Amino acid sequence: MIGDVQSILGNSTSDESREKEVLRIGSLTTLANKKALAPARKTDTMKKPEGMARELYNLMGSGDDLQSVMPAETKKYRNPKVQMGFRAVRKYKWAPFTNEARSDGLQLHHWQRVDRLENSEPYAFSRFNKVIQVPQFTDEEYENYLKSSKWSKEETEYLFEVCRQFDIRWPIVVDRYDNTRFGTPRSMEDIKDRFYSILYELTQLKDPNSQPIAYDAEHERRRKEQLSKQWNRTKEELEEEEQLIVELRKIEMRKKERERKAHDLQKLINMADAPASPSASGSGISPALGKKKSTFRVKTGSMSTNAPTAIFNPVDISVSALRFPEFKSAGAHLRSQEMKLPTNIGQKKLKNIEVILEKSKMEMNPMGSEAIVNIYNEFRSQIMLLQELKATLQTAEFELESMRGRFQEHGKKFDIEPRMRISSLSEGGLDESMVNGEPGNPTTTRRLASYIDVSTLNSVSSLTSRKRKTVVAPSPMELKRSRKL
Amino acid sequence: MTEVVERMKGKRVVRPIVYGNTATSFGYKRESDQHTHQWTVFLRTFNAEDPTKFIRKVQFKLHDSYANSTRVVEKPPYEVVETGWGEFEIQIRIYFIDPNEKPITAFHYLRLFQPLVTMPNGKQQVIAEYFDEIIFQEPTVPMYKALTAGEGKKPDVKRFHNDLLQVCNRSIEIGQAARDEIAAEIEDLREALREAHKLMVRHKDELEQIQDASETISTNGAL
Repeated sequence: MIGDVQSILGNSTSDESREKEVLRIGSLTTLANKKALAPARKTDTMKKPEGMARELYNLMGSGDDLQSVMPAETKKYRNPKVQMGFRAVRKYKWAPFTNEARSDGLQLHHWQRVDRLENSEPYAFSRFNKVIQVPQFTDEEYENYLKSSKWSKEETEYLFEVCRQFDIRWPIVVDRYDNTRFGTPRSMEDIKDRFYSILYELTQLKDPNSQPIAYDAEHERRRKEQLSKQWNRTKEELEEEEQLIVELRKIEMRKKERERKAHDLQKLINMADAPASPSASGSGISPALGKKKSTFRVKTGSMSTNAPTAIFNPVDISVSALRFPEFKSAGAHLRSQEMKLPTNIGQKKLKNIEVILEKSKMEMNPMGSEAIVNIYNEFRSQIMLLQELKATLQTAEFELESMRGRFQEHGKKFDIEPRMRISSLSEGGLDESMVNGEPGNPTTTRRLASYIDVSTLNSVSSLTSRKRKTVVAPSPMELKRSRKL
Repeated sequence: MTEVVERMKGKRVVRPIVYGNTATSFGYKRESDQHTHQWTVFLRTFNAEDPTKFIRKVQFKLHDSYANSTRVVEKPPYEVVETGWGEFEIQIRIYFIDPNEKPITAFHYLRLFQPLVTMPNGKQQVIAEYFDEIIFQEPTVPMYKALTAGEGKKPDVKRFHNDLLQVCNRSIEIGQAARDEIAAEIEDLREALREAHKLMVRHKDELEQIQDASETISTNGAL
């Protein structure tokens, strides 16, 4: 064992290693062998002083080279002969003394300086004998003020006597109180209650303005009961309590979360209720256009009464205006940044915008002047509106066509005006001759509209419209959905 | 450090700038690096004013294949002259004299082949110029002072090959025409739609009456 420690400490002389070998070979080495080896060990190893770090001890090497760590100079440390004092030694005498705190006059002795024997001071420790003055009461006082149904005068006097005897150290008072003497066992609260109520009466008698003394025995009893209950909890009860606290915390957290969510929702609702900001209703559209749109919407409102029965409501067009970046907050930006198309715009729309710009001979990336930005943003919003209108008109055309088909089954017919025909519009728009100002004819050549691709929109809506022939009238929800597609 | 930046409430300062590039072809492919063109990317103020009044520096971020692809120009002319063989997008970041005013970034697609113009001396050169405006929304106080100090300067037309204002006006004209055209078409389609709807409502009722009268239809009951 020691050998191992030494090897750890790096102290392996040849002697040592040999000895270790012996120990290793004969694990059950004889006692004599050990004894013979013991003194040798002692001589060449210095025991590691207690508290010294092992690393430091290692630095000292094997122990026979201690010169490097020996203090070179010792003289400076201290004077070998210390001068303790300058005066001659005082004389003390074994003398009797009186303890003023004692009343029994016991005579004790102690060592005292001779020079102080003559004019002796009072015993120094007597001042620590504090006597608490327990108030007295006269018979008259007792008769007039201190009577109690629960306490006899004798017991009260006995109580005060015990209190005086033990300096109102309540635990001792309670312990020493003789419950058998008056037949009623008294708890600490009973005793205190009686004592303090008398004290209160007495102080009030002496000085009505003094600080009243209050003792609430009932409260004290409850407090102690609680404490004892808390103290007497079992391990299981403790664990249960801890679990309950954890649960409570969880519940509170969940409650907070719920409140937060409700708050967020409320905010969202408020935002939705608030009048839409100009950015939401298409900033790029000119006031005139916006006005038209609004009248359009009013009409939608009146028409929507037909919605549940109507197979198709062409007037209800939701134009999702393009939202161009707005720079309302403080800071610098480039005018051209105001022209950036929103990134969430679909491929189809992007393509339509590109085509219409190209067909209008407009640059894809125009210069960034204010007028250009305004025109471009407005124009691209208009392209979106045109796309929507074209798609809707196409659906309307299909509806009318199918309706006419059914009319013909009954031997009746009606005319679909040329301007309601949009599916046959060939690229490049109508021939100028078509636009002749006659009622029922288109008022424009619809050149730009012809370039707008609504194929997916169209195919879906026509598909749904065809479906509707066989299926019962779809719900307004379904209509909405199909229009979105 | 929470320094309160004082800004000019309700103020808005617009500074027109022009950025772009010029490029000339070597006329051959350089053996060493295959480069074919020398080009210059630049940023200037449109008006004849001292840009250092409000611009601290301009940083040009070239294609990653260039050595030190980020070039910082502290003094005018804000230019980078390089050679190359291909077009790419250059990020031009403009830092303002007041660090509290965040830098802005313009993007310029380097042009090497188009638009080719013939110079008065007969040489051909590619010149791409792009007009833009820096809008300072509620600039910081020092920024505002710097900006208003150089106000009222006339455009320095000679510095640019193109008459940029005229180019802008042409774009506006075309745009206005296109806008009118599309507005008319929108009105046309809208009117057509309105009429189509009326027609539909009218005939739907009629159709129902016919169907009620004939009482032979079972499949198309819904209509």
